[in-house]
Amino acid sequence: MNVLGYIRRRMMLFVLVLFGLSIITFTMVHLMPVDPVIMWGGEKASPELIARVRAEYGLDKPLDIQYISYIKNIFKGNLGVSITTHHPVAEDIAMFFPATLELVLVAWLIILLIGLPLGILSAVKAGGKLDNIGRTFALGGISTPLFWLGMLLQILLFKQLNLLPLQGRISDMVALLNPIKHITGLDLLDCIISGNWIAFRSALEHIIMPAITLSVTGMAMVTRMTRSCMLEILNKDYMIMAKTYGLPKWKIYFKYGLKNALVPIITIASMAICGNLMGSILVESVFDWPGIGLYATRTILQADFAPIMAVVLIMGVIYVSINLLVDILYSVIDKRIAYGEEQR
Amino acid sequence: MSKKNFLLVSVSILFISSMILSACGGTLTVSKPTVEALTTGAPVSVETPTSVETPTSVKTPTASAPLVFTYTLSIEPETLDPAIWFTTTPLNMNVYQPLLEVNPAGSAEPFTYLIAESYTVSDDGLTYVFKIRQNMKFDDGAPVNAEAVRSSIQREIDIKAQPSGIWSDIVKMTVLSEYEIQFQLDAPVPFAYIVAAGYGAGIVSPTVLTEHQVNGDLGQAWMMDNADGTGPWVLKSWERGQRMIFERNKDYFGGWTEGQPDIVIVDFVKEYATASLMLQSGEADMVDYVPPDQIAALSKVAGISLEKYPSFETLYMQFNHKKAPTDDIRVRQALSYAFNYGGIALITANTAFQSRGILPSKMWGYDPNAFQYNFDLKKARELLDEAGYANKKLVVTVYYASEDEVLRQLIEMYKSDLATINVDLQVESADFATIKSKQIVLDTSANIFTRYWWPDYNDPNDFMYYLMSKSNYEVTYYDDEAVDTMITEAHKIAGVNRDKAIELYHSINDIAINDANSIFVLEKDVVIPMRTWVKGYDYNPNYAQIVMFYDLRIEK
Repeated sequence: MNVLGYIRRRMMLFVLVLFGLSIITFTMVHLMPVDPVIMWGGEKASPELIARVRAEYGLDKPLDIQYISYIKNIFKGNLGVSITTHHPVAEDIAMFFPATLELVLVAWLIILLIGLPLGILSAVKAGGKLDNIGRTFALGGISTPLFWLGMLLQILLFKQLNLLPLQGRISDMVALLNPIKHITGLDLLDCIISGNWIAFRSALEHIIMPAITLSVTGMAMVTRMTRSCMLEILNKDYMIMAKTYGLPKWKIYFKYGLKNALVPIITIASMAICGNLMGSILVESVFDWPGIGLYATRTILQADFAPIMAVVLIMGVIYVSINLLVDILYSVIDKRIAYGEEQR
Repeated sequence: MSKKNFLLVSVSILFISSMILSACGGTLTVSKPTVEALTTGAPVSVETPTSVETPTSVKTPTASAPLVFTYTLSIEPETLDPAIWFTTTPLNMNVYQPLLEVNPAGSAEPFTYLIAESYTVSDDGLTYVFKIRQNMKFDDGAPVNAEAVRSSIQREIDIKAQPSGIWSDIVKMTVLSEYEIQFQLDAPVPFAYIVAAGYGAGIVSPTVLTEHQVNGDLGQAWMMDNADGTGPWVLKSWERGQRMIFERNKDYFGGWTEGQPDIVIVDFVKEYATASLMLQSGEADMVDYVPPDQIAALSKVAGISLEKYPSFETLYMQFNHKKAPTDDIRVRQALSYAFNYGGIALITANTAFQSRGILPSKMWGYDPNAFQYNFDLKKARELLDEAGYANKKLVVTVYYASEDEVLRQLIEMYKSDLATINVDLQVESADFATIKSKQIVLDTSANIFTRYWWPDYNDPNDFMYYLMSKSNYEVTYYDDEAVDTMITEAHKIAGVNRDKAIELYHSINDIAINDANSIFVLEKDVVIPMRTWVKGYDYNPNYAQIVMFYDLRIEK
């Protein structure tokens, strides 16, 4: 297996994909019937001010010159400057992306801890009541609108039962008295690193509801996929042989069964993770989670071109990277999958 | 019962219970944790309600715990620089102060003195001298003096962003002494109101220029994320997307009394549903708005007050004077008669009423006798027939900003009324940037452009100039030199001859109404939901959407 050669080839394609993505994004953004400087200027901006700001951000130049300048800056690691915040876009993204990453990681932890066992259980007890519950849950999870579920959880867990906080990443009083020292931007990890257990507890309480909300759709998909893959595998000869040998059930289902079902599950999971990372705008809106989804939405509404293009480009990078990672994982999980010229 | 059945029944009961519980009303009181509980990590107790409707008492902070006021804001500012932002932020009048503050109409004095302790104006209204309050300091410790005021205003003028426009009448600023600054103007404009503006008049520390300037940027980069003013509050922290925390300026010249907050937390909460839950639970003390259709529901919740306050906020549907069919005055008048002004009260839950021309009723220069169009579809049809549309279907286009639910309902009502007189109102809604970008190009412009308006400072010129003069040409394509002359004349004499200015404003208003320049739809009252333990709040229409935290008292 020549994994390195495969990775090298994929990286070259990756550059081409990003290049194509940059052209498409740039074109689409500039085709929008909106002038970002007018948005920034508001109702009372004079034509002179508008012209000055347009020149300051290079928006008065021909589109081909703007694109060349944009690409040159990308190679220098400069994603441009936001007209609204006047921050380098890279700084803004570094500020907001960790919140989304943390939310997605916790959501997927929930998905894997619950979705996988539920899928296996459904397959093992196929046709039974547990299977019916699992399938109903899966169908419900895929069909449920996230914003509705989020608001339902807020009413139930905050208003009625007062179990969890309503919104935000951390409570106001903890932010005031025990502020988190930002190291990675992942609040839970930063709290552990700095030993701020009061803030850790608050951050954990705050992430549970949005993470559950975000996890429902992914959990449903993983449950369904796990169930159908496991159903196929459970009837294989080696599984029957393993049962005949009297091996423990957990070993049969997880080591021999699930391992062979992982490839399609990982495929589904990777696509879902990409979708979540690209901005869980509905969940972030309901829970006021300051992630990349909210940031991207705000920049779109403000017609702030540089952040819009940067966010799309970064999402493209994430998507391609996750796909590459998944391809490599395939070869690790299933030795039959090989890349490169050694494959016969 | 077997294990399987038990599991099935349990899950079903849990699911159904959650549905029922979430549908039930009920209020929950959440006590804010005490300082001691937080610092020791001790579990924080939460009181559960003893009845559904009445909240139980909230845990009172101990004597050593700070008094915290929490305010939810639906729009987060993008920058903290008062030379750049020209809209509401929590820093207006709290961290940054102007020289004066305009008091609401009916007050004993027209102004409250803030950075200035007095001022004089020459007989010709061209020279103002402000005496600066002594022993005031900026947040960084720099002294507040005449030179600091001069440099702050000059900085704004040099940056040339939107706020700099309010200083356009200044010819020269002179520092007469350490605490006296003189402004020479090109015309006797109402300068005292200009220096008291809610936007653009906040004074920043001179150290912005001396210590934080980078590559000649006049401190703009630093001011994006940092604040340095004279107000009663100091910005302690800003976590973007989450909250701003303000703490008292202990040296504030106005002093502090019992009951005033020690800390103000402004949470950025996008969704009204979330903000409402925070208010109902006591987690928030005040929220920045309530949609009109939610007022009735919220008013039934115990412990919440919903006061209504008059404001200067107005709504216009401005006609395009160059694009058919609204280039015809008869069509514009017809469309003005076709609007159901009575529907405003219903849609806005009685928080708005029909305007009478350009100015809001609480602003000086308002004409209480000006003509108002009434809802008369028959008259509208007659005018359209006169304009040559007797047997033709008339098509009229309108743009409105999609974020506003009240606007959407008003436009829908208007559309259905127009349909009864064979007028097809084609509606396009999008974000403001998109519709404005399309409106400024005649080919893509609409016949009607909707916009809200409120002034930067208490002066009719802020309405007349931006809505009626040539400065608004790219929206209305309306250009009348005589009107422009009257607007300029009124503005330039308002400082010394208010009666004459009022006369001119009345004339301009009459022209606008007779010409059916716009549909003068409504002026709004503002409803601010807050907990009943919040005292001292009074909405000042001169400072739209600004909450002055210093005036508040918390009596829990």
